[in-house]
Amino acid sequence: MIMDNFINAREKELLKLSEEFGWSLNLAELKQAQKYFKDLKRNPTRAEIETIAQTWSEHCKHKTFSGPVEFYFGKKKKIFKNLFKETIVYVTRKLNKKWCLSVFKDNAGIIEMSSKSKWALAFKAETHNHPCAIAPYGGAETGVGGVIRDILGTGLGAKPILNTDNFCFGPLQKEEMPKGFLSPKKIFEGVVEGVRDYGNRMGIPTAAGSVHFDESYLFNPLVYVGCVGLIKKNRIFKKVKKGNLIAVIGGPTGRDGIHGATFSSADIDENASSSAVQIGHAVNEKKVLDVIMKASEKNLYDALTDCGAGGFSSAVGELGAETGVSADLSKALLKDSSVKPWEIWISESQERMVLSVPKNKIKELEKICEIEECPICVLGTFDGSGKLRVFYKKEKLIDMDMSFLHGGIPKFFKKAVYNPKTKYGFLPKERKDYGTELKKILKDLNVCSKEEIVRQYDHEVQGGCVVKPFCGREGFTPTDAAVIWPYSFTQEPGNFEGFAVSHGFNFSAGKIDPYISAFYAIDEAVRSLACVGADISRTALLDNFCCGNPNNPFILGDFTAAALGCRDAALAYKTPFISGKDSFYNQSKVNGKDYSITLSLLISAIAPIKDVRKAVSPEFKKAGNPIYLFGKIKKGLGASVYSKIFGLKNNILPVPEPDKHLKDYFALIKAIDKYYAVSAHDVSKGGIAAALTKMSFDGLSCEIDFKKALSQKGISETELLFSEGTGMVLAEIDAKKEKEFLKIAKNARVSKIGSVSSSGKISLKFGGKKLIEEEVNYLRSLWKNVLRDKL
Amino acid sequence: MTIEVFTKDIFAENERKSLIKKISHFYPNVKDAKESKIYIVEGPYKKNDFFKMGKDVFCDFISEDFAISSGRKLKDFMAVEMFFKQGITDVLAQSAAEALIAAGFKKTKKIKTGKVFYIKGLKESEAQNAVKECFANELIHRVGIR
Repeated sequence: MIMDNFINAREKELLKLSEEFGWSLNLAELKQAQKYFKDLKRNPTRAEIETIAQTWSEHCKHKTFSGPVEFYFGKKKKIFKNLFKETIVYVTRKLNKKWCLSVFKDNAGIIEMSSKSKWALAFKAETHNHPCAIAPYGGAETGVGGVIRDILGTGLGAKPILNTDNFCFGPLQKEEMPKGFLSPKKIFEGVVEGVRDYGNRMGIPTAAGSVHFDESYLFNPLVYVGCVGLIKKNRIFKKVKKGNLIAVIGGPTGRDGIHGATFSSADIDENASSSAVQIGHAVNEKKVLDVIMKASEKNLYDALTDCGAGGFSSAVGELGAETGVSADLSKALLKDSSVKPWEIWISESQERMVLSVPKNKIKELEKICEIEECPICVLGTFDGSGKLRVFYKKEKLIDMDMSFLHGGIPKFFKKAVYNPKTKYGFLPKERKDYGTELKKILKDLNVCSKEEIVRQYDHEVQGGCVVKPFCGREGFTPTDAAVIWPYSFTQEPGNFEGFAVSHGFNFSAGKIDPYISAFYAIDEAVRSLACVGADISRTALLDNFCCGNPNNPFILGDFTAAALGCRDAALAYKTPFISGKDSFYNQSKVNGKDYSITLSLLISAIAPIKDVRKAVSPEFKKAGNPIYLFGKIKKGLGASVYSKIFGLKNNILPVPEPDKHLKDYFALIKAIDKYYAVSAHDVSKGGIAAALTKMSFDGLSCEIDFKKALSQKGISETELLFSEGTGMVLAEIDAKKEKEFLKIAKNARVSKIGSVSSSGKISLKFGGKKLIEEEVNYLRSLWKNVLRDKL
Repeated sequence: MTIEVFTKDIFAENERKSLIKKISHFYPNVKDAKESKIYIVEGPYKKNDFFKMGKDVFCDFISEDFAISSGRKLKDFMAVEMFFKQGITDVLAQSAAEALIAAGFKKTKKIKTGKVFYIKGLKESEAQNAVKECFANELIHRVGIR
């Protein structure tokens, strides 16, 4: 189909076309495309414009983050030519860690397990927000499927060994929603079921994640899915060779997910199209996985990538960016014959991978596919022409220069404005007892047990989950990070090397100060790794930003501030970024009014552990053992669960001190490595009171006196109990090793605040004043049943 | 031919409770609820063949039972069907077709899958709305009274 009169269309007509066909291209991009075809003296085909729309979409090109930004901060102005390169990439280049083997260029970032190991870890996290907003089950399923394929398509094929999931939903009690929007409860159930079914059916454990609830996610849920893969160090680089065949393995192509990539560049409204819905098929992806693992062993291909957003147009286009492509879409395997040629090219049918296969190896690959009952077809060749030429039988659909497609996107400055919020720090009056407050906090959706979700996931498959989502004899205590021993894949007896994965996320801090919220997220992720004993000197990070429409200067201002926060925090913690993603346009139009999510930054962290047998879990282990607080309790209840529940006007965020925190964390890791620290837990939502309560869930409780805790001068009782700043960890030390512990912790900020008890009550006091004394079993039942009762 | 698969009553207590809990958020009058999976199989088969499909392929004979043709007859229950809209990929149907072919039913032409919700205590329109609110996504599902 030729787009008649495209090259002579006026600006208004171009915009109308973009809207009519769902391209989500702006005027500058449309004019750039028009100029290209004007120079060629012909109108484009629909397939050509669709390819441009897919390739230039926010999803594929990240044009806002990697574009120029004018940042206004108060009266100051700063120009970024490429915000991404000057923040995220800058950190990695500056730190220049040798153990970062592949960063920002492949489907996932890759780090080495250790210098002696032949193995490397690939890590990637994606968002699938827009699909989950309209079809939660299918959206979540295909989100997981997509990130698994990212790992499969990393290097010459990594083996997926861990899935992660982080969700943000609106409050579950909201059931009446405007037309076209699903209730948070329905989205919640669909998303959890989707992640569960796909991960479980693929045989990949889902073991690290978090769930958050806030009004700002009412119309726009966030679904972050991640995957870790294992790959041999000598298999991490790929290169498409001229003359190789374009082989497609996996499911057939249908109309699923048409315009998925461009869809993520548009706000959601009640007219969302059903063709943007994707449907997953885990069993088909398992077949693809098995074929790739076998073919990789036999070295049957030179490069591969997954068919994600944009389908063949992105996958084939990206692989052939240097060599050029000649493809015939009539060779593609189809779900039904009514699919139009341009639809074949951009369809996002799931479970497909594109491989660059030398001609003499295609038969062997076909044999493996036959054995695994995995469909395969050959679309054409990487022909060395430097052009993208796509046919349907004899009809030419696309004839474009690769250089235009990948380098032709116009860049234009976007304005970002950031205005710091006014600070206020009201405090509640002192109370006789804080038990009621603690109970309300434990019952808050952001603090309560997520067991209803976690137990649906199989975290035991592959047999390598050492620190599980819940630990302790009864499995009641939630953990900070997942620790994985990948023996089932490495098959190396005596090798106890593994890795830990954790997350940092603080949307409440993002509402107050996006710059500081990045410090909070990175600190939480690193601190959680330290709590299980991982080697945090080799921590690698993923950044996943979500926000509203970046054409709004204030939204882009928050985003820019958070990116700068990422740069400064990651440099301070000496943690390079290896991969990441941004998701814009998480906003909806409801009754003519725009609703945007708050700035949401997920930091995912991964670090190796030399010996997984030394990893510790958070539940108390032995009565009489001393309890130490690492770090200092600071003033400020900003972004705390306490402030939210009790409507407290306090937005003071305790100031992070990365240098001091790092010293504390290294002391903790040393204590774990020497078996001095037998349990550790980070202080996060709900403050120290909630953290101590959770550590007490598995039988043993604690007696604490805050008078001995290192804290800021003049701090209130409420802040002592419920403040949620950075850098705080609670650790149980083996009573017999306390002296040795104090020697190794001499440069750290540790204070002995109490001991483990077997009374069945948690007892928190300040000198002679009792602050909280409550039965642990009762607190646990309050915390445990919240989500179950709401569903 | 329609093959309807459902959990035997002695194993269905949790399923019933869960359905009632969900529906009662919107319609507290609901008295009872059950669900079945539906497989609509097209192919040149006799009734006995469909019976075999239900028994050997679609049904776990320990915990489940099945009915062919007109489905279950439950007194005082409204039966509300839910199917994918035209054009939406039916993954379960794809797997079911593969399973039938593996079981020897090689002339299978087409399979469509869906669900039936049996709801007691609600009017026709209420029952239909309950399924729309609680179980369906109208962007991809078609819901109607059987």
